[in-house]
Amino acid sequence: MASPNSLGYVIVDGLEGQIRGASLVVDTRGIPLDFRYTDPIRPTKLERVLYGSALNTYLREELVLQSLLGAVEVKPQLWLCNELDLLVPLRTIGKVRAVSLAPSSHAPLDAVGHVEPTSEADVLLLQADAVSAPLRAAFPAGSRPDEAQQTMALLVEAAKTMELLEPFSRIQKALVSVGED
Amino acid sequence: MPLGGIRDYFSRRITHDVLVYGTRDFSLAAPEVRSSHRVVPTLLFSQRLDIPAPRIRSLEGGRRCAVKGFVFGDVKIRARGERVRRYGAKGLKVSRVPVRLNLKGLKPKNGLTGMLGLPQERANRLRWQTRRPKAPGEAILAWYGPIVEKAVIKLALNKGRGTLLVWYNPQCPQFGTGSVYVYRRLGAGEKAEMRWDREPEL
Repeated sequence: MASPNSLGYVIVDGLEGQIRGASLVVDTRGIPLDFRYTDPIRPTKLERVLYGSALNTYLREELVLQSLLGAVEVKPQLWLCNELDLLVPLRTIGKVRAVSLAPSSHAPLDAVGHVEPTSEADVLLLQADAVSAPLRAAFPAGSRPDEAQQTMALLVEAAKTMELLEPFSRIQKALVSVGED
Repeated sequence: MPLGGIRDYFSRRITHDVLVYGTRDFSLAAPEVRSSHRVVPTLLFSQRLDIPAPRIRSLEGGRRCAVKGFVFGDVKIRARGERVRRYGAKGLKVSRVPVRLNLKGLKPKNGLTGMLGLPQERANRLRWQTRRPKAPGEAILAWYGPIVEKAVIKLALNKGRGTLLVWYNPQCPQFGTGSVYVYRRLGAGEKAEMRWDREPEL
């Protein structure tokens, strides 16, 4: 059962030959309700050779993402990621709506809640609040229009009380802090 | 002119006799006779080539076939050689290498306590903010929002990044938001000042 008025943020990092992930569920003020993280996984050289290009996908999507989302106790209404390749597995494993959010340099749209299509399929510009550039919101391929509408309404509502992209940087800081301990 | 020459002159004029001199040593060497039959040396070219079957060598001493650079022409070659034999496993040691992925880090840890201690960071979004309330002699430096004022425990300006760090009380049930302007009074020695801009109560 999804917790009302909560958003879940997911990051899966693949830097310097190691993969690690973290999920943060916040209320609509950005206050944490649940935070999980994995230790870095370092595949050996032999494992990289044997598994080839499938290794990265396997580790990111099937292992890290699945274990993170399985461990989360406060289930959010919506999962957010900042990488397009996580979108479909996030939707499938998370079992709730998922969206990928990224900043844009586009001029502000006419009003809060306005949406503009882009040249890419399933990617929209969303004016979530009145004091920023519109966000690039990507939806899983084949999302129903009403699903996208509900997701955007939820984002606009949350943007009244929090900065929508801020939790991504907070997760990064938390992972750095955990790594230093 | 010598006397013989005068006599020869008159002899030619009168008798039309031409004096012919003989030679005492008239002998020609016999011409060399050669046969036109030519013998061309011919070398026998055998089209029967023996190509030994490839041998599998040990990993230590072998080298790649590509290094040899075998080139076969259009000539059909009958090859005869040894049968390809199975390499004897005597010198080759096959060992088992564990390839299971190290999944030690995959049990997610709960880091909520540490995360609750981290502040939220608000960027300066003054350039998007059209509302700029200020008194004469003041300049607005920054605008940060939205911030749930009643849940705030502490605010701190990060001067290096130009951001505002916000610590919230997670137990606070309030959701009403406001924002913070940062002002500076024009004049020497004046410090920056933060001021709340509250949303009107509904």
